Amino acid sequence: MKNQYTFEDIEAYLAEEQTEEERRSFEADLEDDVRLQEAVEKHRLAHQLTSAYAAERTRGQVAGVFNAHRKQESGRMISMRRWAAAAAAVLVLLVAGYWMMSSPQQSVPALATSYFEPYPDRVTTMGSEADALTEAMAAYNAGRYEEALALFGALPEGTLQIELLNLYTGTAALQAGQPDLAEQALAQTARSATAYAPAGQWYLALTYLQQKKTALAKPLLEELRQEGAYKQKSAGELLDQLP
Amino acid sequence: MFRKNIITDEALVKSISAGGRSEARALEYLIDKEYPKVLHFVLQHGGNDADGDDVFQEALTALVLNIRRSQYKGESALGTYLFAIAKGVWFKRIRKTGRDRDRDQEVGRSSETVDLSTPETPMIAADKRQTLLEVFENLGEKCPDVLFLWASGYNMEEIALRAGYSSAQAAMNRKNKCLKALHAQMDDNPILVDLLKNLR
Repeated sequence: MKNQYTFEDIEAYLAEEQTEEERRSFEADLEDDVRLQEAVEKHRLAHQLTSAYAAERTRGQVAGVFNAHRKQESGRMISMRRWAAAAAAVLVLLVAGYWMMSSPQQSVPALATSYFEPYPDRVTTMGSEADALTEAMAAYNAGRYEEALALFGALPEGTLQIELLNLYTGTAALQAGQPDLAEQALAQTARSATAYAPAGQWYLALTYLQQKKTALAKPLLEELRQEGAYKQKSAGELLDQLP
Repeated sequence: MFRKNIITDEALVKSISAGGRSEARALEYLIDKEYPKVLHFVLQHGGNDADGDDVFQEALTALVLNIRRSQYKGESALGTYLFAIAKGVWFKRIRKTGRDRDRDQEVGRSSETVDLSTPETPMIAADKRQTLLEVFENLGEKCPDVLFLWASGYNMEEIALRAGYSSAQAAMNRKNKCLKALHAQMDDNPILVDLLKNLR
């Protein structure tokens, strides 16, 4: 090099920080001096490398922000999906619960219970057995069905018409949690040719429903509805709610 | 879904120039707002999700560099500018693979208001990139930061402030010292010069 340009001089030239005079002088030397040309070229390459480094570092920064943010957004989406799934599950449970509570198939015994009313006291007590029958009916009317069952069983034969006695015994047994006894007693009344037969059918149907024997209850209820007899309206309603 | 506050282009440019957390928030805003459009465009033009990610990051990188170097003049909206860069990046990419039939027409349309000619914008192959990063990281104390700031377009006062020097002159001296160390590396490691030829 004709002139000993320093590292800083060449940097100043490339950064256009020289005075007009300095630049003109530098370029005049540059035109003739191969070594100076090589030195300037090397500075230019170093600048390009530095620019490439800055670009790569920026690229890394951008990628870091991009990936972290997308991951965060993705996490939010997953979180939202989880919440949505949880909400959907709760909704399904609520619907299922409501369905279970209201579904006739699941609530047949409960349905039968809701239609149960004790057969009314139609007993007129007279004669020597009156005290025992009165005591039994008193227990029945008070809802003391187990006690009533025991008292009904202890009544001397002929105290009460057998079909009526079976009706009271059956309803009491049904309420006392003895469905087999209820079924047995009520079936006799239901099959009888007495005025108590329709009531026997009704309570027998309820007994079947309590035991989820819907198929056995339905013909009895159909018969009650069609004949327009005892509990016609209730029988129709109950049938409509059965599966 | 919550609607995010609208941030003006001016505020975004200011935040990106400021760097740090402020810059990250601005970039996140741009990702939320512009990434779906770029992804849609790439998908519409034969690319896939991964292409969309790459193109968007490349475009965002170019945008950040152009803002730092004051090459973005605000003549078009930032989103429009970013999208135009992304289109240019995508068409440049598919030109290499010959996947797009209408590329020349589209490139002409997308590039009319955006200068994409910064020499360092093209990506460097992964192995070369690692070499480049390692060379700069080993130049000496604060050299990576000082040279990064200098090449990113910050003036010496800003570099002094950000890199912790007492004056612009001190920052300038450090910059020159770091460049000298780079020159020494170039003498010892000719692969660095070759690396520039491998920009793709």
